[in-house]
Amino acid sequence: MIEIIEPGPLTSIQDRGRWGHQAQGIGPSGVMDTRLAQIANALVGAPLSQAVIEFWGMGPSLRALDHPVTLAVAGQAQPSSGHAAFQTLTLKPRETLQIGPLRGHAIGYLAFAEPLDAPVWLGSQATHIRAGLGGHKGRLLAAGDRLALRPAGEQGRPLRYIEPDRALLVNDKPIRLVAGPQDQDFDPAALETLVSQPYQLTSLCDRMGYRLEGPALQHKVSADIASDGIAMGSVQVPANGQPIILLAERQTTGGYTKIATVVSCDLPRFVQSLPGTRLRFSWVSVEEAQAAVLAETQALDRLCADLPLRLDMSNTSLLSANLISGVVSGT
Amino acid sequence: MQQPYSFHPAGDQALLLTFGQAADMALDAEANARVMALYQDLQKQAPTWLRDLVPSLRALLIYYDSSQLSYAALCTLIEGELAALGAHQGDDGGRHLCLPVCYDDEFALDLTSVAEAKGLSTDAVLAKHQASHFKVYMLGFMPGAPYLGGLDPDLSLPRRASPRAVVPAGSVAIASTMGVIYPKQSPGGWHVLGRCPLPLFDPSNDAAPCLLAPGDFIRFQAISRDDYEALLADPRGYQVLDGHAGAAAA
Repeated sequence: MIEIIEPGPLTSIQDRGRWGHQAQGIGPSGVMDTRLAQIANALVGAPLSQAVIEFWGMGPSLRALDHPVTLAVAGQAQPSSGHAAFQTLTLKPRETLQIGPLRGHAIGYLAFAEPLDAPVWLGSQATHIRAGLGGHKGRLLAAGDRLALRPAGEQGRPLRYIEPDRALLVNDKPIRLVAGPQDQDFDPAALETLVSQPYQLTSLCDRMGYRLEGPALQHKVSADIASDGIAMGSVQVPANGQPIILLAERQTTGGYTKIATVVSCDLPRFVQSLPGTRLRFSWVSVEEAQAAVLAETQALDRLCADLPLRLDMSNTSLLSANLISGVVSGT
Repeated sequence: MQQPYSFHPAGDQALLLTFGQAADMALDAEANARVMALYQDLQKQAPTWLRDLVPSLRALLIYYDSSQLSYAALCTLIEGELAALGAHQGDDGGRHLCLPVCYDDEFALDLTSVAEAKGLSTDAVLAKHQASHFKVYMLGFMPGAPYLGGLDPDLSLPRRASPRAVVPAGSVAIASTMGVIYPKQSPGGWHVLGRCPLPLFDPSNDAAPCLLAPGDFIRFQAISRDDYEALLADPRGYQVLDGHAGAAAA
């Protein structure tokens, strides 16, 4: 059992999403950055489908209650908070973990060796915050929430770590796009503009979608279509010509034209961008996109299967090494 | 003659199949029937590469596992399915349902204005609403919310000039050539004619959280305020399958 002391502004239980129910208007939700969530689970030896805690900007503070808790934080912490990120940790009963603010990226994950015991609804533990469904009582985590962890199977999980640079893909390469499904509804100049001009991420970013600002993308006739399904990463353009990229908590269907879709293996890098970032886009064919996704998936699986073991130090020696000073403390 | 269809990639993990002209906003029963036929066919087959399906008015979004088959392979496969479905328009996969509606003044927020706009008596509006044979063209907007095709053309009119900030849960409404029911309280710009006491979305019902499914046929039946209150308190006794429709499925 763990207890949330301070939740942070946007902290929720997520997994790979609730698939197979979009025909009923129930969106999949799930983690925003599938890559970082997979790495977090790999650090604690959990399968990639296991539920994690997703947090934005500021990580939660939490306390282990009755039993030791093995966990890992995937997120770049501020230097002032010490550094417990990107490695396996064990909290003793009554010990607290303060994650603090993230540095240089938007979203972090907290993974547990033992599965979170939140209810499974329609095959998933993911929270759909807007619909008030799934996760812990269908809502963001709040101070005082207690989350059960299913009993520990094995003790003494291997302690692993990963260098932050390998976990977080930070570079300014263009974000790759596949044209469509409604690229034919746009002025051909719009397709050129989207990849030749930078678009700035506004502060209107949440789990539903990220709004961008840049040269307006002109439609041929109208921004409206007969409502149809919206894929993850769809670049929707309403009549004002400013793109909105729809993400994990998108509506299942919508009535605006979608000029393009972000290639799925570039979504982790995109969703981790901070407001104000000037993004560049490039076109790829669907064949190129699928080849890139296959290569990225295999590379990530290899990375996760082969995380290096951390030196076998106790928490006491870690504290003395100033690795997690100020982060783990008894109460 | 069958409408043309077209394939569009929706990224590397989904394919959008569209029937008819993409720019054509007119609702088209034939296009939706073909969407439903393929939707029901793929749902029945449940191939391992299939991750999710989103049927809509005239399109089907197919989420697939691209590690099992490529975009080109999926297009070929779907072409084959469409050819096999051929002239068969589907539509027999949907259930025939009868939904109770209370048209009490308190619930029929826009009945008078709809009657005035269409030059009909309020009774005539309600009669045409109940005589309409609706079909669930899609669910979307919020969990369990149906878009109903098949509104009597005599009741067709644009959305309200100014949307309401609050439309109560259960509101039964019309706009353009369609009907809708609001599962939960929400903002909305459709013309509200009455209220349905049955829960359209019940997350505690794991087996079937949504009352309606894409492809279902719907007709509305007027009920009294007393019956409305009784069903609101306990909807379990209501038989939603339409006993009057010959083709009622299990």
